[in-house]
Amino acid sequence: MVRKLTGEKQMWQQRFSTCKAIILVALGLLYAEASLAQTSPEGVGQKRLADRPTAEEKPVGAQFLVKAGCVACHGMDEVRIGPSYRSIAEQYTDADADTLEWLAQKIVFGGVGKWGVVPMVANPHVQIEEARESISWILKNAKEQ
Amino acid sequence: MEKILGWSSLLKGGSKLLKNAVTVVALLLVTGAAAQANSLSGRVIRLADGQGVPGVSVILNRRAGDGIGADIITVFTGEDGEYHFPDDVSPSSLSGASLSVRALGYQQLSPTASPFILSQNDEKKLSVNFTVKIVNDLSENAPASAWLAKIPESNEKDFVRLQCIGCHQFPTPKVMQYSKQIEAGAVAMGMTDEESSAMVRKESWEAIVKYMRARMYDIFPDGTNIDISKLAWHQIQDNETTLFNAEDGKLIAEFAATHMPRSYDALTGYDYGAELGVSTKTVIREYTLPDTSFVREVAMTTGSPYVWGADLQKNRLLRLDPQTGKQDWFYVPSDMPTGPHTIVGDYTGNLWIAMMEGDVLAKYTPEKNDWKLWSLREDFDGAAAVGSEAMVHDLTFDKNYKLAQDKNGNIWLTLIGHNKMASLNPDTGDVNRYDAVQIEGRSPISISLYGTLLSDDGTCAWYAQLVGVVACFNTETHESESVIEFSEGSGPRRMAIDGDGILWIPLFGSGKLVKYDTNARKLLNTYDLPDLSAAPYSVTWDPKRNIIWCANSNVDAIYGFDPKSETFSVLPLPRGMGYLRRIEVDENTGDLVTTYANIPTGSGPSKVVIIEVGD
Repeated sequence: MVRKLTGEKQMWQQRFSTCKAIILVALGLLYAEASLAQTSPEGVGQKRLADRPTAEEKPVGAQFLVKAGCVACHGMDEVRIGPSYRSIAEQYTDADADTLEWLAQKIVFGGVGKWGVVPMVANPHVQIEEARESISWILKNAKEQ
Repeated sequence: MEKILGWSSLLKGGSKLLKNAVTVVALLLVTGAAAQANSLSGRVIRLADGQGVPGVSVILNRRAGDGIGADIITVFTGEDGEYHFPDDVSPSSLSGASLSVRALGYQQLSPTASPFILSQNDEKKLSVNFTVKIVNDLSENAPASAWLAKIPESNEKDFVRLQCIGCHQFPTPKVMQYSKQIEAGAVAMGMTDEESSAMVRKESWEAIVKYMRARMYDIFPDGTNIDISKLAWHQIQDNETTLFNAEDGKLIAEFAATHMPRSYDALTGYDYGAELGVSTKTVIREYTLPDTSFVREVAMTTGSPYVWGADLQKNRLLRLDPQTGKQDWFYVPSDMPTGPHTIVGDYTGNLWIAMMEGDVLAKYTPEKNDWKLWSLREDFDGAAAVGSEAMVHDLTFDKNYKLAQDKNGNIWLTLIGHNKMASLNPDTGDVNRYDAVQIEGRSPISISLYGTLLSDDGTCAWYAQLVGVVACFNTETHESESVIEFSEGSGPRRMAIDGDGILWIPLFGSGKLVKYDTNARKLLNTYDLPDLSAAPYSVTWDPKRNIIWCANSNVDAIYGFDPKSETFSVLPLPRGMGYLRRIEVDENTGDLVTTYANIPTGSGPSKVVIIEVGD
């Protein structure tokens, strides 16, 4: 314990009392903690049910189009709300790099005018790289169906 | 439980608590303070006159983890603009944290950086003052409901609120952007005359209705069998298997095309509609969850200090320690997806969970880490469409929002997929099903049998159907009686019953609160909410305060209703997309416990919210 000047004696005495109280409480809590750890499933060391991880593998291709919600508007062969993937693939068969990038941006930010008056909704949950991969997949696979 | 232990056990295993106690003692000696008081405080003043601004939210964002508890803490300024964070916000947790202010009708001017990053320092107390200016354009902080305020009230508007806000706020930023795309597209295509532009809007919103029917499949959990990819387009659009049928869809599209704002650039003339019910003692603590989870409701159970949540997306329960912020996850032990949906505690420490998929009711006992599941499956042909399963939705609770059983031990449940009330006896496993009120021209799923609760004497399972019906299901005669009919868009959803047998009915679509005497079987009064587009998803009776709390989905605020004075107060949430479904009142602390629940998963904030009201 550090001794201070006489004028601060009272403050230090108060601190000492407080410290003593805290130590006693801590010891009491320590005892309780040990009790809980051994007897209650909710205490320290509880084992929980096996953590069953969900499928973290990144979906690709058709799986991604389902997960991202694209199938809500587009069918492989059929017109749903937007054009079919086949129509898109046929329209952009020989698309250059700029056009492919424009298509990917359209997936993320939406657009209107190419296929009618109804806008395509934005999909901010889709990363631009995912959009590029999706375009690539559609142009490669939709025509082959 | 074995509680008597020898002192030897105290010496084993390294005592973290003892180490912590020593650390605290050391800190006390060094700092000379009995407690860390008000480590972060300051003032918010108005530029125009230098006066303090009351009721401003001051939001502290800390780095999550390390046992600090909530990562986001919000307090409010008092009459003179002063604010202070609670004593348990330690200086060490402020390093790298950020601070910002939020208030309807104000914009932060200084510090110029918003949010303001707190710099690391050795100061035990930190003071940050803000200057704000009054702004006429409220679009930055106004809730979604504000954009609907200027549209005249009508049954059609009620119905659109009921159907659209059932999943997400309306309008969300995404809806606003779609509206802009419609207008921009019309201009780009040279279709700006009245007739052409009306046609563009009509077709665009009709497309959205179809889109929403398809996106409805997002509500199911990981691994779901209710799988859009297994269905043909005509099945996805089948009016019989969606929440809104052909007529509903037409109404929604027409309303949106006619009335939704054409521009969202600026918003003026909106206020909360009631006094703020906050003080400098009000503290909102938010605990960020993974954004891949969808904890749509939380509950507490007697004897457990934790907050328990139903993670519908991941087929599991959340256990949150509010003191440390630690999250643990407990998966439902099933090979099939379940989608925990509604969660209710009981008086003996169990949790009861209705599952969105698989027609299952579960009981989880935290003390034993034990699950029990019951099936309520009937007439299921394996179809992958919405409404093919019975879909166990809500279960009966009492005035304290604890599980309630009738005198025969039955729990009563709503089967939203089949529009039936079901009884389950958890001791015998017996299940019985009975028709709820039928509504001509509507499929069972579009009637949407929703909330239910039990009267004190157990004879009445009051239930609500979203398309405007509340009734008592007599648990002895097995008939519906005392049917209360509201307009089709009014949307009674999840009710509460108080200690006097008063049934409080929130009308989600029309923005009202109804007071009904279940003893006299008489409707007593109907109150307009401060914002008719608030979309009150549920109400909770607070027995200690005798207040009805409204969990609103569209106004980024909680309402407190005082039945004595018949007035509302407003408790603003710290963020937009503050979509709430229900509020639990912690029976020990009186804190309000809730969670944000925008559909689909990941579209809005994913956080548990605990509110010290400060009264």
